[in-house]
Amino acid sequence: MREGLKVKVMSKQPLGGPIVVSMGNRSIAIAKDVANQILVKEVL
Amino acid sequence: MSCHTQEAHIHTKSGQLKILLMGNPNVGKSVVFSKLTGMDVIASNYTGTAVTFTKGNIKFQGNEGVLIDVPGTYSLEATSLAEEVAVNMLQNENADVIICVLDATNLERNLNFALQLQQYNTPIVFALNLTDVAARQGIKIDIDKLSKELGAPVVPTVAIRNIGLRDILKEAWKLSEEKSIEYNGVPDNQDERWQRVGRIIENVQQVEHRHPTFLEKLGDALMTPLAGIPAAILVLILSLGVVVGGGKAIRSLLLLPILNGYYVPFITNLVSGFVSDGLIYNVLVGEYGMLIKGIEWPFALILPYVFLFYIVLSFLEDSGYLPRLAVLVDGVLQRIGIQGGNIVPMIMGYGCAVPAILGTRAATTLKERIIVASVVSLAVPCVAQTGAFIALLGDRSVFVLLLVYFISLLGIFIGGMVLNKMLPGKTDPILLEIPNLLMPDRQSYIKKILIRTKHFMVEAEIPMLLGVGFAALVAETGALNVVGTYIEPIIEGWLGLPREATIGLILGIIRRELAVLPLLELDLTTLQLLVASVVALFYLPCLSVLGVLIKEFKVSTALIIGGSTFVAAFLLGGFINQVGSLIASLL
Repeated sequence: MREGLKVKVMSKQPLGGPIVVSMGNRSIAIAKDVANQILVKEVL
Repeated sequence: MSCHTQEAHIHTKSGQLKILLMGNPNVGKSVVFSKLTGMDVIASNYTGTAVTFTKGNIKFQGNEGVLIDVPGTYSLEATSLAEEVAVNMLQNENADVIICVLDATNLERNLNFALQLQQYNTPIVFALNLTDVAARQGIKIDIDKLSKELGAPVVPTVAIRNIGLRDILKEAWKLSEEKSIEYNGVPDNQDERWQRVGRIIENVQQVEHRHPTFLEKLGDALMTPLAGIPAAILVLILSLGVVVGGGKAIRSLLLLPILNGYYVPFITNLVSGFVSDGLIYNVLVGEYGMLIKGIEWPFALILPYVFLFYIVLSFLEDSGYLPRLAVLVDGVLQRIGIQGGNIVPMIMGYGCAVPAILGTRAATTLKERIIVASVVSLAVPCVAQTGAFIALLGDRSVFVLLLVYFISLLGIFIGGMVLNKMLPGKTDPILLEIPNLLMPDRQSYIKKILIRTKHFMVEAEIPMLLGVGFAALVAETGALNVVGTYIEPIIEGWLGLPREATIGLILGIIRRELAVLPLLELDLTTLQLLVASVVALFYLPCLSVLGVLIKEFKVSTALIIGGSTFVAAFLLGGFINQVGSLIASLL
């Protein structure tokens, strides 16, 4: 992850499953607990 | 799984170049490796196919070298066993050159790894792979500029079609003349490194905006619960239809008629021309005749299912579907102490437990590895055993067949939950890259199915022939009756099975399907079929699985897993028999 990368939430799962985030050109599944600790700020 | 994987220090002959093949997971390293060495390596469209390293010999213009396929890693920080192997090799192998494979569709993350690799001062050739897919996605990369930025040669490749591979070797030999190299401006810390990656990307890469293709839209939809869960159920039904339905059709329409119509009469006639009735005749072509059952069981009963299973599994692997399934099942698998990514070795276990247990190396904690290895050994029937179950139950009781698989699922969950409570340690949260969804490359797909089927037949045929021969001897010499007397209270009393069922339990030590196949020759009631199948399902993992458990974990861990499955088999089998008999007597 670096400053200026475009991020988008692709899907969320029930039962405490992960969220899938697309970053740049790839999608990554991230556990909810980990995703909770990620802060995204808008950069212009 | 393959016999050429090893873990010792790698020696090269004098004059031989030692080359490490490195890169992020799922960038096509295994394909580059098998194309350059001509060796068969199984590659898949998900991360962590190669969890141990593999080496092979290469030749280029009369020069010789050893190429070492290092497990793919995202960083060089050793957070999993695969990463530890990679870092270890980088530090201790004193390689002459590194070939670093970069994924052109995901250059940014790959460059982060490339810059880390440059800290080790070994000359590097970069292979920019998947340039065809990148072009389709509208990604343009300026090779010359990238090469200048990295201070190293960059070769564009499409490994699967052999494009650019000779050029990599040419550059590798050219670079090997410099024994050590100092790369300029390699950042020391992560923040600086990402900033540098960002600058390089801005300078070398251009992305054209275009509309998503059908496969991209499908790939995204398969990760959402709304479309993904019904699709997963559909995939399961289709897979079962192909393997179970297709296998039954091939067996009954093609293989059994050939076997019973031509082969059996032929071989029986042939043998009776040389040998008269008696022990040897019976061992060869009698009830458990080596030349009859030793051919019928592996070829007519098991092979169709093995072949079709690998058609389905290889498709799911190469298309990139399995990581999407991992996302969907993560929430459920967490309940048994493992994260979603472990669905991959578990599904492989339905083929064979040996690669499944090796595949657990991609798991980041020992706890998860032991849980997956244990439940696969305990309750996941391998494809050969599935074939045997279908042969035994398909015609006699489909209800019992379904019940056996339901009990298997229950075994996985209860076993997993118990282990999750018992074992110390933690489960790491899921962090899994989702590859592009794509149609598998036809050539490598077919090759993969053939390698796996061949591997299975070589592994299975000799133990099965020996097992059948042993069974024939035991049955024909009356030794079975002697053994049967000793274990009568367990087999006949507790499990309610005929004495002849003992033979399955003896042979089941060698291979899992051999615990089931001898039951085909017995006339069992529905309850006996269920009891015998459940015992066979949970019974000992086969000899090769015990071997791999010992190799991967401690001897004590392997013995505990083997012992527990053994006890579980008899407890549960007996319990079902006692309850079933009680209900039957009440009705």
